[in-house]
Amino acid sequence: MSERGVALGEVLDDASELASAVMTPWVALLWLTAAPLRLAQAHFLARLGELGTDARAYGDHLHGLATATALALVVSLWGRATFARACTLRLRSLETPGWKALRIAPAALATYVYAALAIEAAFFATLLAFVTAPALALAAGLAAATSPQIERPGLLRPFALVAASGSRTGALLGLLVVFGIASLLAALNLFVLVQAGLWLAGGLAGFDVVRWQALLGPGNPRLWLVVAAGGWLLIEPWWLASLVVYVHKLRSRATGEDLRLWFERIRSAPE
Amino acid sequence: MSCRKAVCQECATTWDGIHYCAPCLAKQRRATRGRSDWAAFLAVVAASAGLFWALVRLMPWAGVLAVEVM
Repeated sequence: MSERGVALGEVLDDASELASAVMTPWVALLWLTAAPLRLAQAHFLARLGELGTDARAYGDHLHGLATATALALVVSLWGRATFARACTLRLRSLETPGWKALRIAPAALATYVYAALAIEAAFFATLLAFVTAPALALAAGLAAATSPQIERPGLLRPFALVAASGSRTGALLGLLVVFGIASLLAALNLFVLVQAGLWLAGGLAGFDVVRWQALLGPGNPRLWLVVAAGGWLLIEPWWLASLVVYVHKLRSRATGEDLRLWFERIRSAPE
Repeated sequence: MSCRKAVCQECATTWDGIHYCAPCLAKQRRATRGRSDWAAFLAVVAASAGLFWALVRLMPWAGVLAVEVM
């Protein structure tokens, strides 16, 4: 077993290659299943902001929004598990996975959904202690990345897999920082794109500038929330791919699979 | 031997006082594992339902608390 660490640059390079390899249809599936969740989260936050200190009086309304958001979360978890499985199959076989990526064992999916719900519940329970948020975001990502390794249902197994993958804190902290910055930059680009579109559309005859300026202008807090959600949505496939690569590297060094893949690459290389 | 095949003593394994050959032992193990997998699967589904219920309540509670604190 190699004691060599997992280099951040190596993980990011491989993740970029991996995400491109599974772009069609698995990145599209991930975006399709995650988009309702991100929009529901943005709407929930926007309503909280609008209600302000009166929010406590609108318990039923917020409860309804929370139910819709939680249902969207479950759908997005299926998308995440499928994407992680497609990435893992690609790393193991060096071939683009077909529809067998969709064949997730019900026990594995249920165990992953259970772990992800537990992490999400911990996030909301400790929301005011801001320091726990990055750690729980990382745990949620690792739970998805390790989900293809779940063979049997169990209440502790997914957390044991996450804990075993969290040994190289340097690389994981690096990934958190890189993707935190990438998410901000993606959101900023989206915002500039929307404003540029608004400015260009202003030149069209019959375009109601005042109405659209109110909706898509920087003065609308909902726009900021949607842009932040969009920024995270855009980088999510690369975030998950990075974690799958990281988990695969850790595991393959322990099992010797890296040597098998190395031989396979040499044998398949053109002479 | 449950399959009624004749197997030497070295190839037989005793489990709960009954001698098993390797294929019968594997079958017995799969059956035991299958039962425990079902129990674990039901426990996971029940825990997920409980967590979903808790999450739906935690989300507005945490949101309202955050708005009031900020």
